Amino acid sequence: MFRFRRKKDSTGNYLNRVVIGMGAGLVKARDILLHPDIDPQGATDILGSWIGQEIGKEMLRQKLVSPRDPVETILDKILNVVQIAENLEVYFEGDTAHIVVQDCLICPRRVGGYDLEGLTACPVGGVVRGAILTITGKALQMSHIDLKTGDICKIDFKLS
Amino acid sequence: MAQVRVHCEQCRRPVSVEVQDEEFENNPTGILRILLVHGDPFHAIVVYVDRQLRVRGIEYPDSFKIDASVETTLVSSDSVSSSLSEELGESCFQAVYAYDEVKDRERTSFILDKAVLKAVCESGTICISQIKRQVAGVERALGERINLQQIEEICEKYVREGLIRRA
Repeated sequence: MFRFRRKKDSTGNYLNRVVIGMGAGLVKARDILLHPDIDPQGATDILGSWIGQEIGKEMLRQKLVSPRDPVETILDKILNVVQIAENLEVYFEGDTAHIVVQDCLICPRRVGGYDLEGLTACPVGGVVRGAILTITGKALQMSHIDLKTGDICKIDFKLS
Repeated sequence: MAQVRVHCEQCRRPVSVEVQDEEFENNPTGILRILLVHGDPFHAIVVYVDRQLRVRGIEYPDSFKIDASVETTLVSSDSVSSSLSEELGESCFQAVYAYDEVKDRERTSFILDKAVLKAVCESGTICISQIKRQVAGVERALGERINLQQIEEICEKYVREGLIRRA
């Protein structure tokens, strides 16, 4: 008889949270996800937002962030937790945070090798927005999005 | 002449009524009873206004009927929308392009932004509370409350980019 015992590793909680968020999003948004007007990017935004809300809850639970932290600090910590890319640049300009993603680690095309048929399915915007919403209670506006599958993607968030 | 603004519970919108000083001259009670017909479909409210232009009360008739021939005049949407925001007391926006003309450009934008843009582009002229109703499905799907300020900010972004304009 074999028995495997695993010590609880808090880093693993994020995978659980991703699955929980995705499941909740699928149930809560099932009607709109199947709507013909919703493209794959829209569906990914919705699911990403639910996943982000769960990641935000876990970060609060682990006391990595506090609702009183500046949004810039929270954004930095979210991007550390999610490990989106090998090369991730975040810079702030006035009330705007610019996120430049290179060598994305969650790109369905670059990492997964899937042909996305010219479409995009980037969860970064939804995940970051959902996490910040849960942590701070504020919904950030994405002032500019430039997604190029498998290449350099840029997302701007208006912080105020 | 002064403008008095009231909130109509029937259409859930702010509506304005013009009050002339002379209207109080032959009014012994000092309270004006104004029948205000507005909205789409038309409905009426009775607004009670005193000399200090304070609204003393609003009545909602059970039924509204017009027993007369009605002459309809069509005017261009531009001439109506030039003052629509002011009239309705909230921000309104107007389509510059059809949604089909801009949807490829906005292919990767966030779903809420896309839904707001679609609502404006497909409506001609629309106010933010109407946009909020049209994007209610996305609001539920995202599991968050979208307020009018968020919608206005998204519209402002598209105004700056020239895809829509203020009405």
